[in-house]
Amino acid sequence: MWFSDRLKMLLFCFLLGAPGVAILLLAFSGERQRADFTFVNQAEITSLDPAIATAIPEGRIIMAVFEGLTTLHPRTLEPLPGAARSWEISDDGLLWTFHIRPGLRWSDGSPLTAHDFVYSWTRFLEPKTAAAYAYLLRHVDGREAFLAGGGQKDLTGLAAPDDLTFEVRLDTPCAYFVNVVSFYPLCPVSRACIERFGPKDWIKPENLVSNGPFRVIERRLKDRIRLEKNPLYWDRDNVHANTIDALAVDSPTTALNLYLTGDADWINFVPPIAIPAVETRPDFSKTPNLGTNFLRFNTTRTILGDERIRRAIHLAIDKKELVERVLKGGQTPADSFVPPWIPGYEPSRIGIYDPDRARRLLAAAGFPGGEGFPEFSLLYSTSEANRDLAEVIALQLKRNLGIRLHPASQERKVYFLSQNTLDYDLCLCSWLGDYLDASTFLDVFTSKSETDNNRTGWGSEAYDRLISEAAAELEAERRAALLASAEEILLREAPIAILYFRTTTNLFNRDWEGYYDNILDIHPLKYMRRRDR
Amino acid sequence: MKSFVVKRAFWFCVTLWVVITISFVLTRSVKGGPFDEARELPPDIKRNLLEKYNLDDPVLEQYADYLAGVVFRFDLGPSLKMRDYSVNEIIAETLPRSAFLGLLALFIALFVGLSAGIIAAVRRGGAVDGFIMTLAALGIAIPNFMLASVLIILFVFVWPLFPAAGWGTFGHLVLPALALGAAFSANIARLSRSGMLEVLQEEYILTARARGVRESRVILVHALRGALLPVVSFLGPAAAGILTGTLVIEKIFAIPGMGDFFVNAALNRDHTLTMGIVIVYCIVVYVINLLVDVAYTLIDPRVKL
Repeated sequence: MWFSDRLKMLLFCFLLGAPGVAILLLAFSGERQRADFTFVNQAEITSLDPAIATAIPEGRIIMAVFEGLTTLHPRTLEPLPGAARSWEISDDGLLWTFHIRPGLRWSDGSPLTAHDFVYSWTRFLEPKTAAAYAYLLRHVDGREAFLAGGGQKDLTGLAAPDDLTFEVRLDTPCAYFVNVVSFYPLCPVSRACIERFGPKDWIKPENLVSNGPFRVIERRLKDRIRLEKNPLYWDRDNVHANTIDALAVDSPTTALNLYLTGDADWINFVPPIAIPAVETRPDFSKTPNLGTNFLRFNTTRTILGDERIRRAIHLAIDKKELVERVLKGGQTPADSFVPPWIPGYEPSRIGIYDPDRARRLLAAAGFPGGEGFPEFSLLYSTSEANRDLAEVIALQLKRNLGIRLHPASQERKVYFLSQNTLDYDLCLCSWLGDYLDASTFLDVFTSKSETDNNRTGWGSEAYDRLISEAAAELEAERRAALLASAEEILLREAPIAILYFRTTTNLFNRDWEGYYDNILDIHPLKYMRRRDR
Repeated sequence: MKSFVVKRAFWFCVTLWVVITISFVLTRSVKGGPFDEARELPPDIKRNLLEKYNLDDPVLEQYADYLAGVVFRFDLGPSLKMRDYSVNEIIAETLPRSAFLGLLALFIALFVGLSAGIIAAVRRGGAVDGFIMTLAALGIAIPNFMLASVLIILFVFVWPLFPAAGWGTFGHLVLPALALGAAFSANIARLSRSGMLEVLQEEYILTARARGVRESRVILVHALRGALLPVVSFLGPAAAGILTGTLVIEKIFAIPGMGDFFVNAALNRDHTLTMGIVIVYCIVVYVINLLVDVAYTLIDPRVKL
């Protein structure tokens, strides 16, 4: 034993004293100043790089830090001029010309020109960027050759004849291209910044050069991203918050607590259990959302390949009961796949709930009263809400059709894999639209799409033809009619059983304005402004 | 002592290697990969991503690369989910916060637990003893997330003393540290009480009293040593428990620590982050156990390394 008593004493004091000292240090380190506007941005974001990000929380930050050719009107979601002052389309619908706003500058003071868009979009399509949303630019002319050349060749479809003109040539007309352009993955990134700091470090707040209403001044992992007004932004006079904090808070209950105690000014999701308690508050809002929940059928399973059986199952599910008794979040039973809130599109409709007709269909398919019908599994991604839904659907089918469905939960990643490999019977799914056009829904079920999201084994030539005709049709009404006919096929042949339209719930501090309910649930931070008293 | 350190260091390396190997095999053998998402990625994009992170190499090569990175460069690789960060950066930023919270909880557990245990032992059989031991039983039985909710209701809403969640000031730490430390302080109270009772029967205590040593000195100097022994051996598992306990508490109080990644990295199939965190936990638990062994020799002169 070679520790002296004195040393022991010292060690003991240290053990007890160290936390004490640390606490004192922390106590006197001073509280950071609260940002003008603080909101809960759900989970920690995957990336600040527009080309890499894919989810809604990322989008909120990227749309504040970068600005694309067009932006979205905070209420109507119409495309507004952004980095482009105006744009026009050639008569054949193939050549889009964007006129870049003169005098634009990056946050480091260097000029922003049409060449920056050529660079950014080329980078977006380059294989080594591995942008998940690369298919957004699938119609850009010369893309195949560019990809075949491993990204070495120029992308012929993009050009900058001068600093203020950005031309995009498509290989097929695309009527909704202007909606695609306002989507955040297509925001420009600074070539000088990426080349100076390298592909890994350019995105760090201290290096990042951007062009949006705000710039990132601090990023603390899993805690917050602090934004500060960008003094070089062209429309700076209309940006009213000087600092904004985006908090990374996973738990909806914690987010609600932060809002209720005044530590956050806006939360984007209210836990369903708390809705009755806040429903009557003036700062609470419940809005339909551009999203549909539905069941996928694996149509390669012999019996489920029969359209009558799929329709029987669809009609035997009581959506009203699901929405009102299970979900309780203000969702509405769906009678179409495309939610009915897209301007200029009238979806095809289908009956919601008709157990008698369902029984007749099942009997016609050879299973009167459900006799001899094999037991299928109903796959869902592990969560309490999904479990309740699956159990109730199984009960309803037992009650109405006499068939047995066995709810089976899989952990999220395994669930996606099972869907992709058609290793399921029925599964509980949802789809969220990316932009304001019916094609963002209907493209999903083409039999051979670039992003294989179909996952049902179902395919229809007529459906595929209508979708591609619609994509090439520039006249809005005819295009909507083509899409609606495609939707009719989808509903009639029923590779999916639609259940309900989604809703979003927000709590927004009424000392502020700039928040408008809209179906994409997009609320650009640029417009956040303290209300005059 | 020297051979003890050498031996421990050797077994530490072996343990770490076994842990790395097992977690590597486990992460690669679960179904579903890091890039299986709600929206299926186009096949060529998915291929590019797998290539970018060398996930398309033969598994043995991936294993060798990973091991080489860890051993020679202390490089735990890039995170597959938090794409702007490397695993080293994530751990460097979040581990100190979790460690800080954990230390504070441990400190509370020791302080409250020891005081309660000693008082209960001295007042054995009385009302105070009964009260403390009932409280301790409750403390062990109530899970920390439940206690956290009660604390939030009481001290955030009913009596608004502390912020609901977040990180940055002392006030942010109080409730999470209490919620995290409570169960451990209850355990420590029980352990130190029984340790103390045992020691108080010893003849040397009787001798001390017979020599006219003040009762407070008998308790706090002569008897405390013995009471500390079971507590010190409990500190190893307690520290491990607090480490894993932080994941729930960090979620409830939105603390930007490492605990949450412990579960989510695995769910996201962020293989590199999962393994990095397993390695860190392994090191921490090992080091704490080492400290406990050393502390033992300080308290009990009969123990030699």
